[in-house]
Amino acid sequence: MTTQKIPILKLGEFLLVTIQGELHDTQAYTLQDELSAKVANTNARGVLVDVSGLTIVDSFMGRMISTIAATTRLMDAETVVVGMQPAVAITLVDMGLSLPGISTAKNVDKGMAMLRSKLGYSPEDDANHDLPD
Amino acid sequence: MISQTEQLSVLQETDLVSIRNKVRLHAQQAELGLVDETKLITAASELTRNMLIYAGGGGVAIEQLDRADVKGVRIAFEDKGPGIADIGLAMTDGYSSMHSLGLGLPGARRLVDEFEISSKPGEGTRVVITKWKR
Amino acid sequence: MTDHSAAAKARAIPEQHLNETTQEFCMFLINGLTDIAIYMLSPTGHVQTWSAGAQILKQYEAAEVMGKHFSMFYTKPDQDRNFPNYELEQATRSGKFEGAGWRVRKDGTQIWVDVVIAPMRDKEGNLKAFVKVVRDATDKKKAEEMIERQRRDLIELSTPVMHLWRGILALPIVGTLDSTRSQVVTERLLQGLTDSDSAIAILDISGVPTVDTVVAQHLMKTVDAARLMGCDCIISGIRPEIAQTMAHLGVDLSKVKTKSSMARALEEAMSIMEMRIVNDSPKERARV
Repeated sequence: MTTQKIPILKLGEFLLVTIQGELHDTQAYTLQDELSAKVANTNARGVLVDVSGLTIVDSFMGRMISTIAATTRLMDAETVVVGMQPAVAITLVDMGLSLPGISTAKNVDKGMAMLRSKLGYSPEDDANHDLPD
Repeated sequence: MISQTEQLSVLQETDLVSIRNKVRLHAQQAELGLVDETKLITAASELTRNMLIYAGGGGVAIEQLDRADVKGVRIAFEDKGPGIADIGLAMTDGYSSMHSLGLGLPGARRLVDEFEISSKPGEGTRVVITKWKR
Repeated sequence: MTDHSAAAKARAIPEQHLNETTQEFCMFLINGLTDIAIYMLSPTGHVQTWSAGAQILKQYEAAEVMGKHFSMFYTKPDQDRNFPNYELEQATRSGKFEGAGWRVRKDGTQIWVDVVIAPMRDKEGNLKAFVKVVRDATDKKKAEEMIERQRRDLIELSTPVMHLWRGILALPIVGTLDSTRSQVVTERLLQGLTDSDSAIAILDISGVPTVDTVVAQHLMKTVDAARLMGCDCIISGIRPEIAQTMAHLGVDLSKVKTKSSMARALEEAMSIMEMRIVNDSPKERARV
């Protein structure tokens, strides 16, 4: 079985996880483990999970997102889920999985701004943390 | 095309992805629209996963329905697993006999237009879902 | 002649003659009906009789179809799924088959037909033949399709998505919200948020006469789905009667941002975006 690893990018104090295409269960488990390890290693203050490339999120994947959020919170980092597709959002809500308590943002930029304001950064601080695209 | 049936077997977790892709193709042929297509694939994903977890696998039959007045996709999931003793209970939100949130069956039911389940303890379970073009 | 004596005279006709007369009458009737095809099939589905109506409808001469299997009138997909035999099985089992579908004529064109198939049995109950009555309903079908298309168009048109301001969408809903339309509204709103790259949607329901539990739940789902996409959804224009109904139904709107009017909702949306509407006229400034 060829399962690609999902890349975890470090952006200053934040981590960016971009999930694209089809997500295998094994990949999902690996991602959870690697992400919590990386949060610990890098002292990340926030995690952005970009799901804009996912066309399907079933209850397993929905739970994975919840678990990631809960785990990172215990490790003193905030998780923001960004870029969920409309059809995926409707489907999750219809299934009864509206992921309460999880922060969401429209795109990576907005998610980043949200993390900053949650962590109490003033706009002046922003410049210091800005990273090239 | 009327009643093209495709038989697939589910044996391992990687089959989930191919089931999802096949269902997508059929949903697109039936012109379900993006939202209903997403719902159907998600429901299929839930039920396929259920088969893998509880019965170790099973068979999936995807059928295109093209009655002249309405199009749709019907998917049957059949396994020879332990079966469900109390279907009413299994259809309750939050119920799960194993480690999961128990959203599989009731969640899938909410995503489709028709949902039929029959099961005999010790013999297996059969779930048939249908989604019609709106 | 009284009815009584007419009946007596009818009874007086020998059975043999009666059968012949009835048969003649039937053939006269069957061939007189030119917009309906009536024909008989053998128990195996092979054509046994052909009528004038059948010839007009299907375009085949009697000689071309006699003894042939009736599946020849069906579309390829129907043939592939063995639908013709399914119809016969249904007719045999339940005493009648009724259906509608596309059929292929001799020139290859398709017509939409209403079909009734009934089994004919002898005194012992053995299957002798099937009677098939087919009526062309293509016009009716086309009219229905047109109405359906218009209904869809109306739903689409009556739910405009307005780009109110940079990043702010508005959906004024006018008219009754049923389950189908609610779904359309939700999908259009969420898709609109993506297409216009907006983060806030105002759902104005001041033009909606009544809200029942199903619709209220649908509104909540829309708000939830918008939140999952990282967007805010404000519901405006909840009229007093509707507020009362919703409270009565026990709909929990505490987690939803509601505003009395579209204007208030816009103000709220602006404040979420950290913008403000300021009266910048010199008069106003002088007053300050």
